[in-house]
Amino acid sequence: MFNVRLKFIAGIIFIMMSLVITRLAFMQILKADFYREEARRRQMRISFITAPRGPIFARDGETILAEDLPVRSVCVVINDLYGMPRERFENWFLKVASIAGDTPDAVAARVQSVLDDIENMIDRRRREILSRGAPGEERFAKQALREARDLRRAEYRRPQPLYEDVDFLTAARAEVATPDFAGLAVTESMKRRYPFGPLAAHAIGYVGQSTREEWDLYRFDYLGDERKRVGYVDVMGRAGMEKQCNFELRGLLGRREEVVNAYSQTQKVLSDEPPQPGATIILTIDPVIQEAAEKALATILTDSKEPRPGAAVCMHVKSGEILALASSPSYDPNRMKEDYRKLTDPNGLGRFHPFQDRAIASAKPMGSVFKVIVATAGLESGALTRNTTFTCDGVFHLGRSDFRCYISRAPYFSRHGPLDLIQGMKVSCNCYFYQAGLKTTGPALVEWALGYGLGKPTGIDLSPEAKGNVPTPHYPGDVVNLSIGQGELLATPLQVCRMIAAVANGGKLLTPRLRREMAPVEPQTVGFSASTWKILREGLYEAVNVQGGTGYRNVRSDLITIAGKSGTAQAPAEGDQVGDHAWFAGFAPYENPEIAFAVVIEHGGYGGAVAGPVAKAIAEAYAAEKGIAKKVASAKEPR
Amino acid sequence: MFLQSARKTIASFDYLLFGVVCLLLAIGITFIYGASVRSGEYGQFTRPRFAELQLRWTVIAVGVFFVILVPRYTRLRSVAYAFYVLVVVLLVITLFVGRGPAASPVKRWIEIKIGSYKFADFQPSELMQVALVVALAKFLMFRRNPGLGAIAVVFLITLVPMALVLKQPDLGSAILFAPLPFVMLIAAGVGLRPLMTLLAAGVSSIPFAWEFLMAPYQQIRFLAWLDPYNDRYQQFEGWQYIHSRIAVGCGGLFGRGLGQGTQTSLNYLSARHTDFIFSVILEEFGFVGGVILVGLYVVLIFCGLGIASRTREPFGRLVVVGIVSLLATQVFVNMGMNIGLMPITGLTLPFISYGGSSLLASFIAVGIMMNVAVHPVMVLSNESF
Repeated sequence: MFNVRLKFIAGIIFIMMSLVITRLAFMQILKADFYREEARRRQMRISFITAPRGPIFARDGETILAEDLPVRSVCVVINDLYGMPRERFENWFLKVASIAGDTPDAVAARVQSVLDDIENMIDRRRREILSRGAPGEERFAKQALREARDLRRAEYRRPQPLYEDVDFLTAARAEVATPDFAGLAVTESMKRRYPFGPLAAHAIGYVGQSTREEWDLYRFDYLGDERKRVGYVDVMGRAGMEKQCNFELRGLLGRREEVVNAYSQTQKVLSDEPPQPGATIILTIDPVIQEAAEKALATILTDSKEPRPGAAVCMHVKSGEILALASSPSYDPNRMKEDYRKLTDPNGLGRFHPFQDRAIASAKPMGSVFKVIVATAGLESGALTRNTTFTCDGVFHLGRSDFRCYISRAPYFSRHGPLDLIQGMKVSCNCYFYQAGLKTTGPALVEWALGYGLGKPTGIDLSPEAKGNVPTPHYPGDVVNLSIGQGELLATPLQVCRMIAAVANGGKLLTPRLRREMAPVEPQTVGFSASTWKILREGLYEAVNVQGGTGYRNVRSDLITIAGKSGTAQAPAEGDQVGDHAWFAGFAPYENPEIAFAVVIEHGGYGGAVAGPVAKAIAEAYAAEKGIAKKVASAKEPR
Repeated sequence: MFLQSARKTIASFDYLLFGVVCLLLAIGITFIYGASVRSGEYGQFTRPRFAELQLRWTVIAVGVFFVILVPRYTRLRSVAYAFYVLVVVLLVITLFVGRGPAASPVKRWIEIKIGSYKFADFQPSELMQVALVVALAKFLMFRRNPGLGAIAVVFLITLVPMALVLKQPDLGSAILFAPLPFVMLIAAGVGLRPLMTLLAAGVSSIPFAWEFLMAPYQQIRFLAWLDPYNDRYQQFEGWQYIHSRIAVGCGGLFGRGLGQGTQTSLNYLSARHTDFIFSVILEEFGFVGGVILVGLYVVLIFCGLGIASRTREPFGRLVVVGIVSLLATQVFVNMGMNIGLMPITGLTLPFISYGGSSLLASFIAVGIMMNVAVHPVMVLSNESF
């Protein structure tokens, strides 16, 4: 009887042990691969090492526009300040102040802000941990405390920048002082530098710290490449080429695979791919022309009684390379942090929105520059010839509406009288083009406006680009308005520049580009005839180089023959900025066009008088750079 | 007289049982050495002397084992209740003056000091195992078919020390006691109906035990066992479950080889020379090693059951069955928690895990078993008794 009971007990024990064996078989035979992979995953640490960001060069391939440079920072080691005897503690601030050329109070304030930053960071981390558990759950509270302690300890031992990017002398003074001066350290780190400051800032752009959203999107990989992933604290292009080519400039991160133990200590390095520095970007920007354009725009922004923002684009008429892309006001990408308040002050520069790239991202009514398109449309449709004559009485009546010519207003109070097409372009007579436009008909105007690339993006390798607008005229009044480039017609300076470049190069609509190493895109053809081309060139020549032309007084240059068309577009007031947009678009040299340019000054007034000088500055800078000597050209015999 | 009894001892000594124990000890010391030396290499918890200490304890424990063989076990019978009461009193004392691992409110052992020299940590719950077996055996030895009253007393005898141990708290030791009354009652000859009633009562009391007997940390351990990968547990209670399972799974069929276990050498597995030494063995010797080890314990247990079936004297065989039950439970619970079959309770693997008092307790238990084997008592009754 007892033995039966023993057998029962033995059976139970046998079943239990069989259970163990079964479980072992399941884990060790069936799922061994799963657990091996799990072990490998948990024992492996993959770390990524930032690559130096690629430089950006100007078109010569030598002038550096942006690069990563080591900067020195004077840092505080918080840990060393603790436990310092009172006297030495007070002396510390005095000494740092003398090194940095600051007051002890300012040094103390900076140390305080370093401490605040650390505490804020710890607080963020703490909340993140606490959010994982139920409110008030003890072990998460404990872990949060533990991590806060560890973080604080690490941050206190790490040198924290007090004065970033200090000059050589300050760094040297600090470096000399550090060996027997606890709590002070000098560190070197990489910082994006723009040697020319605000020069071509909108084309080059600037960098900033990666955002939470970018990190969420690209924390594991960028387009499938994990060596392009974005870190939580990382440098990302924020505008211009820095943004456009951000991932090319960032290069490939270094990747290191290590086996770590449970305490995250490296045991073995499995693979170590070094970081691959970012690509070198060569822009088509010509610093000389760019500087001339910016200087001319800056004069308008700062010197006149009424500061006006504006933009200028200069383009090579054969390749579509952008030689200058200027937007005023600009900013210094080296000083984003310091200048941010000034640049966004709604009562100061901020009202001009300095970060907007007016040259490509702002579409405005283009005014009389559109008359070039009216002339093309008229000539090509047969509605106009070179000798088509309309009379300007200062006002044009259509139904019950009056459309006036600028000549009838102050300060002229006059009229143009009978004009042919060339004269109409030369003096930019509105009445002439009201009638020319009506005769050409609205659809033809629209067709040619689209043919010149208005109303859609130019396809430049920079974003964001505005596409502008070409309206469909429904009433004769719309056609009249469109004929002088008003109403709902909107164009960016880049689009206008491309249009005028198409006139300069005989009808090739180029795709503008900013990266030199990229192959040019095959241009489209606008499709006007050679005779039309000749007439357009003549009209643009006379507008600048013949007495009475809208650009004669302010644009005509003794160095280079400029041809172009001014524009004065009515625009709604923006705050204290009232008045018409001033435009000038043209090309040079007239004899053998090389560059085309378009300038707009918002609310600047008369195109020839306000925008013209900027265009002239651009052309003359080009002439000076190329050493072009002006040939005495005749309007009657172009080329 | 002495020579005669020695000759008898040598004749009836269970060599298989002792051989298995020796084999287990050898395996244990090898892996204690491996697990602790390797952890020393990386600078954490540098205690490469674990194996040496274990060897010393082995010598002491084997000495105790042979001393236990000398007096006839039947002497225990007369002092069974006194012994039981003494240990219960010790358990009560432990609740007041006991110590636990540094900086924890746990009260598990009493420091034995001679002057200011700390001699050893004495853990009364280890002694309680033997005391309880002896007390239950004495109570049940002549009760062929215990009634409900007797069953109630059996459970009272078990639950008093169990509650005291739970209070320490030491869930692992308390769990060892749980199957004991059932096994002893079955061995003593309880009827089928009271047995089923008991099982039903036991199962239905689980929710109450969960609610009233288990501390919050024990409940969390249990939840973590069910879902170790949960974010709430992964870095805390779940860590051990995850990493011991990984270690076991990594072993595969033949293991990674002695000293090649990465979970061990990289410190992912904690308590690897004590509670989780089974994982280390499984990682390094794989399924084959695991089967051999389980086999050794099965042999050990069945040797014990063999002794019980050979013994005709009721007290002796009940004691042996009780000890077998304790050993089997301990082995199963420890193995179970290593391979994710059971929640972690902090029990050692007998004869293999590092730990002096655990080793001593195991040897005392096996010693008593062997004592029963080598001191046969003539019983005049029919075979079916």
